[in-house]
Amino acid sequence: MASVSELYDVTWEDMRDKLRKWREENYRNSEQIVDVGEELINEHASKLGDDVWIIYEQVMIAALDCSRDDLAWSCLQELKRQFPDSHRVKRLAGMRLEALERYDDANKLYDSILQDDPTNTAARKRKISILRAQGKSSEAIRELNEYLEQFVGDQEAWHELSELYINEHDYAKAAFCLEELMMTNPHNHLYCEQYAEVKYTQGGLENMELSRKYFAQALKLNNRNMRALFGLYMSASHIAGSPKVSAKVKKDNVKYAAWAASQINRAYQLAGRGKKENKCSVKAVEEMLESMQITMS
Amino acid sequence: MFMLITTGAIFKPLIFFKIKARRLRRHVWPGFLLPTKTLILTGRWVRDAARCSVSAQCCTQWKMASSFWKGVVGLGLFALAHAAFSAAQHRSYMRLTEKENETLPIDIVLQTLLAFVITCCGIVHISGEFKDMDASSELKHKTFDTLRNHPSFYLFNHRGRVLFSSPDQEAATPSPQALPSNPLRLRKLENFH
Repeated sequence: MASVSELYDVTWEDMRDKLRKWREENYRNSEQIVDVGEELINEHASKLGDDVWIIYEQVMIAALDCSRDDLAWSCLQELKRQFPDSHRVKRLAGMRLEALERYDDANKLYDSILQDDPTNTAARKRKISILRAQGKSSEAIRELNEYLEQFVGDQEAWHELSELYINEHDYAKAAFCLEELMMTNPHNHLYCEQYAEVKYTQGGLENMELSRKYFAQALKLNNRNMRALFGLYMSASHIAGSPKVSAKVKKDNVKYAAWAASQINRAYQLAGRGKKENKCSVKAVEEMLESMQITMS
Repeated sequence: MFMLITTGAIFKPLIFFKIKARRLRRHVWPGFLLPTKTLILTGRWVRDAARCSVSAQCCTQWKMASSFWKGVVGLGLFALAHAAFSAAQHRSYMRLTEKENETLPIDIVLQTLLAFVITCCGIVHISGEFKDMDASSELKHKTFDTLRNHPSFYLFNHRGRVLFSSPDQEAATPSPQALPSNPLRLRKLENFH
């Protein structure tokens, strides 16, 4: 099979930079990471210098995703040889055991790490992931709550907890977790938008108004967020269609919904300009918006 | 006199030449003496080193541009050193001829200012691309695809273990419908961001 560098005509520096980009932005395209990383390790290991160890770690985790046990084992051996007593390498060994579904062995390994170093956050997070993999989500939630009581600033953990709560349909607590995230990242439009979606799901008039406000906030932070635009349209039409609101509020919300609909139409028109099917797709968008009108039966 | 003090304040090695440097301990090193990665110019956009996704042609051009601007920075620093030396010489000459009230000659002053400007321009050009001041603008292209991934909480009991397993592993476990040789592998590297 042709190597990646021949197939796409890239140098080893481009491959290394791509891997770094994927690592820093948390991409989980494991198949590509394995392809690129395996070639980089096999052919260019000497040129990478000290970067090679973090690439080993990245490739190992991707290999576990693709069930490439041989590659994962060889990466782990290299890392063990270089860093014999490292907790980080032990954690990787534990992850490999988890991938092989040997959860008890993995738990023992993490317990030994925690005995050595009680403040090790990585091992605690892996134990929570084991509970989640085994389907024990209520215990995972409890453990994660205890973890967050001690390490309040851990953004990843808050987002994970919000996801767990959403899976359990406990939207009030999920909203609380997302509020924590919004507080620490006020400029991130995605957290605003996810919070607005959770509020929309909860339903009820106050939640709907709150959701509309947060969709608007997400749009203010990033005016290219289509999901927030659709959310604004839906929440505004929902409020306008509710029987409990005053006439003025109804009128305002109809105006917001109309504005959102016109923005959506414009965005689709701009996206489709120069393409042949633009007229049909624009018409389809209008029909879709009409069909999404909330009707109170 | 003031020019001498500022020149002295800017240029560290002056201290080695035993010039009267009473008011020189301000420790405000301007940008061009800090390593380029920690450049802080208040009120201006902060440059971030541009990496990945440069085509080969662009790369060589960038390297050429950088050596030109590196030359400019070198020239500017040399001119600054020269101006400092001249100022020091002038000071000692003044002291020898006991005419301590004469101000620095205008050409030394001009050379100092010009060298400073040239060095700043050179540094700004070799230190990479600017980032926006607006904190939310660099998030404009972020999507939930990547935000949702929490590397410390990755689970491995997903269908990727079957989907992405290599062909010889598939042959070892014969299945009634053999999967075609993976079409996912043929996607271009560049299409994926």
